[in-house]
Amino acid sequence: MNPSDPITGTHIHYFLVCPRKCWLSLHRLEQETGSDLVELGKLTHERTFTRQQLREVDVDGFLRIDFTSEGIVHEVKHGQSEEHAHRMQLAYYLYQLRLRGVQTHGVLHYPNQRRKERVELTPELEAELQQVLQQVEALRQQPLPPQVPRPMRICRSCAYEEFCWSENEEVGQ
Amino acid sequence: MKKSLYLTSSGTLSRDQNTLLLELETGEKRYFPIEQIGDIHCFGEASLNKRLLEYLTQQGVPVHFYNYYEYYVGSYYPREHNSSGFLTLKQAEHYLDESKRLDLARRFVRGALQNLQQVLRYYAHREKPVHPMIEGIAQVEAQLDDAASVETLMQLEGQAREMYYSALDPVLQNPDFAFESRSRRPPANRLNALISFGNSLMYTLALSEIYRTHLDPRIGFLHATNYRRFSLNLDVAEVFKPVLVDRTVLTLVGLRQIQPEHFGEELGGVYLNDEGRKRFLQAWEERLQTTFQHRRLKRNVSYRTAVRLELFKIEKHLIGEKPYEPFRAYW
Ligand code: SF4
Repeated sequence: MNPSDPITGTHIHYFLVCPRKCWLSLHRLEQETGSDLVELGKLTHERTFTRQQLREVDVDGFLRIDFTSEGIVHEVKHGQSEEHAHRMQLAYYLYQLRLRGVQTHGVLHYPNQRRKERVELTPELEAELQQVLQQVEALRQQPLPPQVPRPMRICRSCAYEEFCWSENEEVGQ
Repeated sequence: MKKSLYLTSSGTLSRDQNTLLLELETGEKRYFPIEQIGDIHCFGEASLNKRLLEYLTQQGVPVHFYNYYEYYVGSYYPREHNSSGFLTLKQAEHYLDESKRLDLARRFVRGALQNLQQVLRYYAHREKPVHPMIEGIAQVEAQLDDAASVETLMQLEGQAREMYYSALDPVLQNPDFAFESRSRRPPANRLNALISFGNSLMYTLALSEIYRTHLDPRIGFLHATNYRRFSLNLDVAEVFKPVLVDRTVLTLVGLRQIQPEHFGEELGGVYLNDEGRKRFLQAWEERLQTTFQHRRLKRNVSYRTAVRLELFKIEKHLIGEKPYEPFRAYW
């Protein structure tokens, strides 16, 4: 509905975690960040890095990169379960930066697991990213959000939980 | 979970670094952490400045004002922080398209009528003579499908409400709280005063929860939209009034937690006094925090959350995902 809104790194991440979440976000149906996990994510951020390091970088108003240092892009995540989605999100930043003439690589930080992962925009990763970008565009054109038949494990910690599962079915209230 | 802040005495409200500061006329100071405040209700005289309003906007906290007689006066509704052009267009479309508007309006009335019956069934189980009223409302409900205009729906709802109100005296059987008939401005007796007060709280509750969604409170479906006033909250309130307001009133009176001494008479009307208002607000907050098991979310949710979930269901109706089925109370 906002056809000119650029795809953000968050959209890429959402798409790979739950396309419904991606559709809702593309249609600006974001929910309040009341979720504990969102808060937890912020805490992980703040405890691990100093204020100095934690300057979010905003590229052209839609790429919000956690922080950069010495020309490297860093993304901080607190959970490991969505690893591939994180990697693709970072790949998307690298791709967008390359379109702007910046060649670099990135690092995913999992401070809770004391782990880092280096991410390069290899031809394979880029091909995969292109596919995802096409799918996200196609998803945006769909008139309705994709249906999810029943709550998934990740719904528990998703900001859209109350929206997606608001119906109380029949009896029992 | 965020809480409502009810200010029943007069004072000055201001921002003190990152907290809300209330200075009472007695000089007493009270601090409230802003993250815990969902909305503010001012009953007494409140002084506030622009700096505070900016802070409330930034934190997304609406403020509702009531006058001395507990009527709703108006709200400070911070600009929408959560809007979705997509959803706003859908909402307008459902207002402008007559059949879509009628469909939604009918759903609100059906929800209201079912919950009216549910409240009466609760009292029927307690041996109160209210069966004829339940049947009467069921008959009105059967006519909803044939209603060809929003006005007709409003009339049908009015009829159902009248039958429902005629059950209050047999339920309470308390001469100090005789209902007789509905009177609004001014409320002619204590029971009417309680219902009016509760309804004001219900309207602002719905308004505050709408603020947490993408819906525009100015576009209602059953209650006509007029661009100066909120109306979607009135639609949603119809569904919940029986369950939240009426049950609070009937319980307070039934348990004699509210007594004749908690009222005063002024300008030809009957109003709650300070103590009465405090008791009502306490019971109201308890009611909102009462929880029930939600099957889909697989956890207990409060009635306040239920109001928010209702708004999400309305959003899903508007985007065409799922027809709206109103909240139903089951006790
Ligand atoms: S609550 Fe579940 S279904 Fe809904 S967007 Fe989140 S993950 Fe997807």
